[in-house]
Amino acid sequence: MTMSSAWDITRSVKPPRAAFVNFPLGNQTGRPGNREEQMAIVRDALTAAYTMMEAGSVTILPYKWDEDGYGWQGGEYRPGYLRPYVRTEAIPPASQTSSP
Amino acid sequence: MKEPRNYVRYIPRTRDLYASHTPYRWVENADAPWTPLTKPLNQSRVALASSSGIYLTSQTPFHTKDDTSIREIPKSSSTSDFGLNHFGYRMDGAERDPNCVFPLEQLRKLESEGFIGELADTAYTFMGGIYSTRRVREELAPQLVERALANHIDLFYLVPA
Repeated sequence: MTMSSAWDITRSVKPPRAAFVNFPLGNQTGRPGNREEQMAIVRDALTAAYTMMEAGSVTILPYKWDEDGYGWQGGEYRPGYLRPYVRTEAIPPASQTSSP
Repeated sequence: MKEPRNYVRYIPRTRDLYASHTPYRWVENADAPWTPLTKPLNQSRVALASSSGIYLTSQTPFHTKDDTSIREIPKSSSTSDFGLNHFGYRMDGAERDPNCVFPLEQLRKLESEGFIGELADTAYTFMGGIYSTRRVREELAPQLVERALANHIDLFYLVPA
């Protein structure tokens, strides 16, 4: 089961089972700090995994980001929307603990 | 299939964002594989994977240039030990609360409530902003599948970011 907040990408890739939350990218399993919503989304997605019967289908979960549900979409993912990324090469770990 | 009433078209917006590059070619699959689930949720062993770029601060951080490596995160890990590096989404929310892209605490609670049978000992993370779909298909995905199968899981819960 995969989460999705990008309908067109998920429809193109066609994972076996997907649960769609219409939130800005970076909030696929709920808003920061909203534990009740985060629990409900994960619970709903796992439940959907067991009820879906059609390969490649997507279950639309009913959560809304804001009052009209879509107000955030106008500026989302436009040029200049993301801060420039800062790191292109690996940096050493803070401690010498080996990583898997 | 029913469509959401309104949604952001990320494919054209990604092309806008990288207008100076060769147009990005998204993966297009004609159909999806299907593995039936054989046990109810409350008897299933569930593993979490997330492409959010989260790692433990004791591990090597992800870099953002076609990094196909995987980090293994023990399920008892504390969110205060997480670092985060990605370039494809706005990270301020996940930096405050990693559970919006890496729902480890939610899954631990669902395990303690008996909603799922068991949360696998290890969760898997990687940095999803990988330009080369071939490298995802040939390097990252087989590694992820191999580790998940060795973990004897019934359900793999993926959070792309």
